[in-house]
Amino acid sequence: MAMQFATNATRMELLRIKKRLVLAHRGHKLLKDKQDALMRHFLELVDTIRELRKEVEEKMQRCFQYFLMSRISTSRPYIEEALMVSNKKLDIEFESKQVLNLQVPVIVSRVEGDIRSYGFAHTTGNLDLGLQLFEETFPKLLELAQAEKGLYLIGDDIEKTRRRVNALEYILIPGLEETRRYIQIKLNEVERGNLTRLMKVKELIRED
Amino acid sequence: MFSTKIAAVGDFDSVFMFQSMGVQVYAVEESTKGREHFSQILKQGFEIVFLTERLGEKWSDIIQEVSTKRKPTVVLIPDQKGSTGFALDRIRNVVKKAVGADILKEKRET
Repeated sequence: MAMQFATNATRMELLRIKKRLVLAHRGHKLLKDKQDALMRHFLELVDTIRELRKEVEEKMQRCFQYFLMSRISTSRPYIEEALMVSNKKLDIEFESKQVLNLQVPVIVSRVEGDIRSYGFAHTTGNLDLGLQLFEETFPKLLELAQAEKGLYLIGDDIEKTRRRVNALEYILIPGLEETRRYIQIKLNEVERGNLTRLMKVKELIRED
Repeated sequence: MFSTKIAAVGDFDSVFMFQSMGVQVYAVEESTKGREHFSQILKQGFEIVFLTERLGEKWSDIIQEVSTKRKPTVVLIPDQKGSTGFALDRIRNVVKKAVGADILKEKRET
């Protein structure tokens, strides 16, 4: 049984509690709806992420194979040098999308230029192939970043919302109900007491 | 040439190609020093930080701290030795916490 709140058993208090009860029910319903909506977004994101991650991991694995081959014949300084002169321009911007009350990031990226602007002398064809593949994979990585951040933000909020829903459903609402019942019983008792007292007084007066 | 918004952290062989995309690359080792370096990188205002799973597993506490902040977004990537599955584990944990059930596991089996 839920704990009742410490109150005075008065009619005023009863009215107040009835009002709070209505409010609590309404809040509960709203939060519950919010939780459902968040959950829908969340599950969509989970699906997207699972697919993206699988794809990215597979592609990166292939990239690494090329890079491994290129590393056998090219030493680190040469690779660093080759990549240094890349004239690739990457510009990302963060916009945000509103998911209910949450701001979820959306990444807008613009890529310009060619990665393979280094000389041919010190690097191998494998590096070229690997980089090309990586270039294709990179937008997926950005998508993944966006989706994962969204997932964490929404997940966090679902948890908070659920805690609130539960607090309302299992603590506040039953507590208020219990208190209302208590006050009503108490008031009824007082009413009955008054009635008998009146009857008694009436009897006393009549006997006189 | 470098974007100041994205960084990649990991051993050289696993992250050097990010440089070609104009991403700031930090080659760090798995050590106390590397750990400090990484938490410093996170404070530098990057939007996205790519981190190899192997390092992410070691430094998961640092990642956890920023995971619900707006930025940076830490994305775990497989390194040259392949995926450890840690990134997926992390996602599964979030799902478990949010949904209250391990729904990913079921889906995997079917």
